[in-house]
Amino acid sequence: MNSVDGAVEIVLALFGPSARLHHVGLAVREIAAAGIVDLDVTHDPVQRVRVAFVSVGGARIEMIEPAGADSPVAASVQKGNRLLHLCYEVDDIHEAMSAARRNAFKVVHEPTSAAAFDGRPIAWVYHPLWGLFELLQRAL
Amino acid sequence: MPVFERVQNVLARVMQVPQQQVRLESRKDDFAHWDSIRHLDLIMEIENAFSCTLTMNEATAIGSVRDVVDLIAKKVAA
Repeated sequence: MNSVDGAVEIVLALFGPSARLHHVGLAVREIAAAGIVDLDVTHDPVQRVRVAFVSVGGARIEMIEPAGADSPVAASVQKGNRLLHLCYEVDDIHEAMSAARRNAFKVVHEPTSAAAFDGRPIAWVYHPLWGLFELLQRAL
Repeated sequence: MPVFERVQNVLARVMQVPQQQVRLESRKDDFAHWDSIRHLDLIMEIENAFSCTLTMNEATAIGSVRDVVDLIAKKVAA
């Protein structure tokens, strides 16, 4: 148990003890609209998105743009740009998924190689209260 | 209660529309709130309501109310 400005903060290990926040996913209509020069945009054909990373005040933000009308984020961005997920980096993605299941998450995408992370596996889990999370295998 | 009516209840609640707006021929695009996150809410609500588990292939194949009803009917019959 921790404390934040006097308020009690409960520590939850939803994805196991090794999980650390890696980035926040922000779905956007168009990455280019940010007007940032030299952005490194990666196309991920498996996830059907294009992504680019920026750092804001120490927090890494993944800008996610739909790569086609059948992209899973296509419908979301029709209503505007929005925070979509939190990504946690973990030592063992399978152990993290087991922990997530124990905490009533549904695995919505089994581990698959991710173009944005040099082929490291990612998985997706969802909980009606906590929302959508990406799990990223930590590099060895 | 027939499967369609139960699906209608769940869909109306998740998509925040009146029950009459959920018709058998309604498709995903007919619901303003049906995006990828709401789709996941729908899957979990369907699983709870019908005490079943949907595979992700089954879940991603859902594009209409009829898809949900047919899938549940198949699950119940199995």
